[in-house]
Amino acid sequence: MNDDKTEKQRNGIALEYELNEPPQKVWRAISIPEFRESWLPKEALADPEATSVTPGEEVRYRMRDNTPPFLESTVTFRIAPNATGGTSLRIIHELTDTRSDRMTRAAENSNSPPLMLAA
Amino acid sequence: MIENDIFRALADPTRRAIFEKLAAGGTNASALRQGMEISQPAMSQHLSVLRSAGLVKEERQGRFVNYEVDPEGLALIAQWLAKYRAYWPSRIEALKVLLKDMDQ
Repeated sequence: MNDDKTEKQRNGIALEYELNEPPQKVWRAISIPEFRESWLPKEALADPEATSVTPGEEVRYRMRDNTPPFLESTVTFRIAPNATGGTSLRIIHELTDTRSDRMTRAAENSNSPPLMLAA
Repeated sequence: MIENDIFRALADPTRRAIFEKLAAGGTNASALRQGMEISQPAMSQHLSVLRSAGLVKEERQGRFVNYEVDPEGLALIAQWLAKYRAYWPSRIEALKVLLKDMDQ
């Protein structure tokens, strides 16, 4: 597979995939509920509506764990054209809760390299 | 929720440095401060945040309190990360199947 560069983030997971299809098509697959449902079912989501949408570029959903303690997290799908006419898809998945604003701000302000966790 | 406390605790670079130092071996607060520009009250504060997130535990030894990494806290991080590292590749495989089936 022509996949994935994996990198660890301090408060979540970041993954990148190369897809053969053009960005417009990938965009429909990740943003239109009927398409999204067939690969990311609503059972995985806290809310089947996207929490933010930047048309053609980025869509974000709130996710809910399907096992206790049912943690809520946010996943961001970001797409961009790649050199071969396909699409780079970036997945950024972070734990969130009521304190997430503060948490994110702290992370953005820090210039230090991400913590590498042995896992 | 303890998992969220963990990520918040480690979002701070100083706390991350303290945690990484402790990961190399347990020690007391004054030994921890060596080589770091940090006051004693600030160190106590950071250790307290790490402790309430379940990442660090303390043990009194005579006049000193010894701090060490709490293996249960580490296991929680590892669990969440492991679950979703395995989850996303399977979702992407399903996305690829969908893309093949879709009209242009």
